[in-house]
Amino acid sequence: MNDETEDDLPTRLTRLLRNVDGVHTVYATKPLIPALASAVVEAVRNDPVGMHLVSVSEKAEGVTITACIGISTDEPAPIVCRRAHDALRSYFTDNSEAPPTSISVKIGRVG
Amino acid sequence: MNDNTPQPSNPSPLDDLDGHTVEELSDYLDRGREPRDPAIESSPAAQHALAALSRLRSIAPRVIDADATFFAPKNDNWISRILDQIGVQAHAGRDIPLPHDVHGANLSISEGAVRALVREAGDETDGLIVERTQLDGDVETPGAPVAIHVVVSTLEGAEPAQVTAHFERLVREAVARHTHLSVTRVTVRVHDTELSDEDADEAAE
Amino acid sequence: MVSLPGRDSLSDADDRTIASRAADGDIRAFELLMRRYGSLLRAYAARIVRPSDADDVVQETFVTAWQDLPDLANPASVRSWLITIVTRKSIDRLRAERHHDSIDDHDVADSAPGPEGAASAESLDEALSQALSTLPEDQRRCWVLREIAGYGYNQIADELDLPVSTVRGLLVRSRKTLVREMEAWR
Repeated sequence: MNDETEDDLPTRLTRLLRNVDGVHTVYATKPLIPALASAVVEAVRNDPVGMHLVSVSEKAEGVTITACIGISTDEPAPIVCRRAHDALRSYFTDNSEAPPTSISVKIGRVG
Repeated sequence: MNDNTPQPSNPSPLDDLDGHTVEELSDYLDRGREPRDPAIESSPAAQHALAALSRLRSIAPRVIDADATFFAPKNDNWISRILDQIGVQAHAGRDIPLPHDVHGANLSISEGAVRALVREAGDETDGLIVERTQLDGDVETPGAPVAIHVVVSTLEGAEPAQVTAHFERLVREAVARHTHLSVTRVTVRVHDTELSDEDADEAAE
Repeated sequence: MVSLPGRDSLSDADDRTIASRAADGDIRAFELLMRRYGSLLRAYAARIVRPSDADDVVQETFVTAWQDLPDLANPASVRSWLITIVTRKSIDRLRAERHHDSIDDHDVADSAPGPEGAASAESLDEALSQALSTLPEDQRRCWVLREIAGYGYNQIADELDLPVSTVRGLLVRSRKTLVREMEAWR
């Protein structure tokens, strides 16, 4: 597997999610907290923009996407969550790629 | 002994110790001046030094407060960046499903986000501060009955019954707007009814 | 992050209320704790580690505090609890440094941290704060750990990897200097 393509997709999807109406933050999906506190500080110091906030894993049965977002209070959470999901899915279908077998979007914060 | 430290010529109560040492006097002070040492207690010079050491000790905690104004962070970006990453994960709790009719879609809102909604309903209610929140029930199964328990403090001058009724309504509205939980009950327990402005001021000192 | 309604009322609340809410998972309450005590902890850390390391130590302190807050038995004492954590983190940082680099590469700014050189002190507290800055690093560390953190001689010796007799000597010297400054200010 090519490192570069693997690195690029999560970053692209992170950027895409940030541009979805109602989404104000994309959070990391890989656990930071069980790690040492110093690792969190390290992660924060290195601009989180460059981090893999959206997780992409490729398995035999297909691609799995996992994202965690913060949204504004202006609209109901289910609506923004579906919009975020649909945006991720369209990324693949618009590029004539097979849609991921699973797209998980979790809202971590409203407001 | 004091090679690294500038030695101004100010007189110090520790210059003349009447045969005692700073170490001995500090230890004596540490022991709360017990057992009583007549040699120290009867020496004016030692008494003078003890008083100075004891005064220094009482000022010590304030020195860091004085420092703090000089060490105020240049900017507080680091605060929001730390918050962004730790907050959401640490108390996320269970995943509460949100329905979506697309194959492979797995949408949810975290329990932590819902509890935050409850707290924010409290922030919008005058006269009350939310302290603890809890979602009781099988929140991971759509349609399962869920109870919301909240512990609050009301502020001095607020009418607890009135304030909590208003708060409860806001909680139900917020949770209904952002989740599909079927909330059967909202209980609000008042922990303190006399939270005053003075308490707040004291804490800010 | 946007400023939300209610933030003001919460920011007036006492430590117990704010710490309880932070323990309950309220990120905004935790933010208030960070704002309320960030400078204090930074000042404190800068008295033990190099000032350039103080920011990292304080950030680690808050990450740990966030994780451990639910276990804090008395939320009203959150201030002293945070000081306990930042002391621990500062000492850990010193220890890590002892292991990682034996080279003494203090730069000039590090040798005179704090308000030294600022306009003359306006209070006794400030005068002592300045005097503390003029102390050699090892004296300052010992004094802070003894008088502010409340550590015993053996504990300080242990944490700083120094003989107890050395710790005692450093404390005597720091006290002599600070008492002289204190008396001079009167």
